[in-house]
Amino acid sequence: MENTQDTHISLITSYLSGESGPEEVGRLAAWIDESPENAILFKSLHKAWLMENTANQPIEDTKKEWDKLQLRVKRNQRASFRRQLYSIPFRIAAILVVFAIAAGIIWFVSSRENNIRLIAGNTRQTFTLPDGSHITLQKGSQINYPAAFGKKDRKISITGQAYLEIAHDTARPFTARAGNLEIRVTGTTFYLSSQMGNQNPVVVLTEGRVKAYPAGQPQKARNLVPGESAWLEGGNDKISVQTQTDPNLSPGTPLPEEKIFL
Amino acid sequence: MTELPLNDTGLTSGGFRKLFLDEFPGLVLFAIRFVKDRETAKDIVHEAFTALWERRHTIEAGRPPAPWLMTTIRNKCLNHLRDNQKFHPNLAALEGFEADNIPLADNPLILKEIQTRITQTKQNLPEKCREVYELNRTHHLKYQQIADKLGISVKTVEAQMTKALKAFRENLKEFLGLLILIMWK
Repeated sequence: MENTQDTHISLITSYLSGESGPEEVGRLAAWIDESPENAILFKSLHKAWLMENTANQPIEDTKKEWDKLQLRVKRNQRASFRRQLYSIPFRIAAILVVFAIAAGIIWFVSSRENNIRLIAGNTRQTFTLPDGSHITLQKGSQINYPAAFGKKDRKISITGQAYLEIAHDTARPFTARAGNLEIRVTGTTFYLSSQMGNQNPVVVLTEGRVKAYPAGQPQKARNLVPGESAWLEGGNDKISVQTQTDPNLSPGTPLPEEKIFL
Repeated sequence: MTELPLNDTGLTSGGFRKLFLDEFPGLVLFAIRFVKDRETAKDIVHEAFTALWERRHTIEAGRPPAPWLMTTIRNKCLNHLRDNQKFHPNLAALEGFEADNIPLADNPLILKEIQTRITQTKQNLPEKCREVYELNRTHHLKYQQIADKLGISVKTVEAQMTKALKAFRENLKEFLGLLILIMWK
């Protein structure tokens, strides 16, 4: 009896800490409906939580939050203006953004590896992939993909900052690699940014659904939901996920003029 | 909550900034009551302030913005819960989602006593337990992040957080009693 009660107290604690997904919340609600004792137990913990939570005034920097708000308001004003400039084609279903370091404006095919490389040099440049996906590369960024791209799947690797609109095609999954971090598109619409170069690749998801995993180990994948970022830890072997707070990486943000450092 | 009446042409930017700095922390705590997750709560409060700013000329002069903000935030929170399948009517009723913001206690002496108890409880938590608790409540780390940081399992983090909440419940017993009677007549 004590054991099951503890299990449920644990469930309630997780719920109140914001750690519960929809399945656990459903289980909690069902258990509470089972008896008034359960409801009372929940209520007592809930009230204790309200008290200790309210008393825990955090070390919040409200001035920083004000700055974030200003950015957001400005961005909203710019976004409604920009919407007139960028019209996204109907077929284009997803957007992927990857960040890192730089190079020059060259387009060439490497005959030995049958690899295609797209590079943007001193200015941002937009290319179209064979499947119709569009890529806007930030200056000094490049992507590589095999000539067989789009036959069975769609794999690219990215160095730098790129803004991708991925054409929707469930038969040919889209995978992007940045350093040792691999990202697979699972949703129809997503916005993703990752950073490379001297630093550990990081993926930040602002819209849609992706899986992130260490390169070549999809069994270790973690699903990301908007507002989360993922990176590699433990010597590139494990994915960690955290909620992302950078206002520049909020949903619907177009690629910024300057690079963003996470 | 401070009332900041709007002037004739709507909220000035100076007034808006003051409103934000004064109300933001409390409104985040308010949103947390619904969505539990702090980052989500902050996002929603930001959305509400953005919406208020965009509407600043159309809100009637003299009408205080604070209740509007709370209503907007509550609605956004409930929508968020529904969109994420985390809304259950009985749970919502138990947590008092539909009720107006009921203060935890009216008497300032009782509030002070509650505060003291909470501080004492925190200090008396076993070392590991307090460490985990503070990482979660003060530094806002998720269970997985705490586990990674301390090199322990998520299950251990859960157990420590459970221990902490049980300790609070135990030490705040007197203040919980009345509410339970009212709920279950």
